[in-house]
Amino acid sequence: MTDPVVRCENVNIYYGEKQAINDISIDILPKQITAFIGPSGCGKSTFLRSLNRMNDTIDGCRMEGRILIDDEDIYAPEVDVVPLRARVGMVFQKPNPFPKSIFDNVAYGPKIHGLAKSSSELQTIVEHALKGSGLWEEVKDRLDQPGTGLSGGQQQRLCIARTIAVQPEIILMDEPCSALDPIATAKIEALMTDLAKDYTIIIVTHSMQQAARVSQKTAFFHLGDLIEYGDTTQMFTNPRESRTQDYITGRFG
Amino acid sequence: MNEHIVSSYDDELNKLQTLIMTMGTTATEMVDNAVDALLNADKESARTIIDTDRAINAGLSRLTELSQNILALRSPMANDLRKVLSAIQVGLNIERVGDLAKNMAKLPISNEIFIEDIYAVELRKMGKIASGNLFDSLKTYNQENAEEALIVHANDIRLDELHKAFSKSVMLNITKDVENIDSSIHLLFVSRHLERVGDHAKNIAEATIYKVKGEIYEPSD
Repeated sequence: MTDPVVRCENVNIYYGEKQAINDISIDILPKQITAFIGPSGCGKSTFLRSLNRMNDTIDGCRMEGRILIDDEDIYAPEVDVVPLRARVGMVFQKPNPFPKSIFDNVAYGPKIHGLAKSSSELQTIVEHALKGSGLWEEVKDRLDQPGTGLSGGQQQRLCIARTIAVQPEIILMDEPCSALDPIATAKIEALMTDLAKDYTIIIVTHSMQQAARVSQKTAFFHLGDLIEYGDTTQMFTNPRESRTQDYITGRFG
Repeated sequence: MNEHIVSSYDDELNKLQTLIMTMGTTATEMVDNAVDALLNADKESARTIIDTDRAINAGLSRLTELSQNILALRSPMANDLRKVLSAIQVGLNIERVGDLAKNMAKLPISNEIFIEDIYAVELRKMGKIASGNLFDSLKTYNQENAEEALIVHANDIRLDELHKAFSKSVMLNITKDVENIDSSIHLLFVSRHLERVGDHAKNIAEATIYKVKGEIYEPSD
């Protein structure tokens, strides 16, 4: 039995008075893709953001319970969120490259985290990250051009390159393909499968087909509760909970 | 079971079920009629059975097409997925039953078959059990009753025993009644066909269990 890389214990999250997450405990296994699914407002994105303390930036957002990454409580007072967010990277719904060159987009993180001792080392890191995100062949001759000039799918892969350039352990993805066409989506999905050899990936998706295609584990959220968590194949062929079945077969919205 | 948000999806799944039941009822009647046609040497009825098999084959084509469309256009999940997969499974079994009934119906058309009364009684009994098991298995499929499907599955043993006893008796008789050896061989053929109808009923019961519980039923025998 593999030890989980993320261990969440009795997590409750509140926005002011409103409780968004109700007493969720879940273990995430390393070097696998875990999908969070559920209807809008079910708390899946809130829960995802709690894994690298992105919720800290939201006024009135409060968290109870424990989230351990490699047995370390990430909400402990001494934890610095900057290295935490390098360790637990994030890719968002809308590709958000910096208004800088392709090279600088990827080099920015390693620079501020002091991962490169020389410019040649930085170049190696950038090349490696762009290769890792499947973008290198498409951009290697125009690294000095603005990242914002790339297509939507390329921009998203640039954001993935930016994330892996700082050598994270875990990559969180919040609807990474919802703004992309099917071809760009397929490329990201193929990339995710490759990345899962080295990283733990957690993806929030509204596309049930995407969850079924890419993930090994699926968690179904509803109204702030974790309803069911299990092997993706089992969840999509024979879920244990009737609420999971109703949701994945399109019987409630 | 709650309905889908998209009601046309429910309509398509219901169409599958209706088609299965139409095909199944037809196949059940074909089995009964094939035994009757044989025992009564009724060539007319036998020809009707052969024609009816074409309708079953057309039904399977329609079922395959409907299933393919649901798989491609709806991407069914969970119990919906199992509904479609089990419908294909059941459809194939019904189609095989149609073929078996057709084969039996061909016999009285081209042969004069001598059937002793005791064998006629036995064949009629086996025919009733075979078509009864088929009917019962289709009922469990339609009503999504996995417990009942297990019972139907277990009932097949009676048909197997009758087939064994019948075959043994006919084989013994072959040596004594050399004149009617052709008829004896035909009767063995019919008995074997009825036993196989029972096997298809068993397969349909297994499909019901899969459809309802999502488990592949593996009997211990």
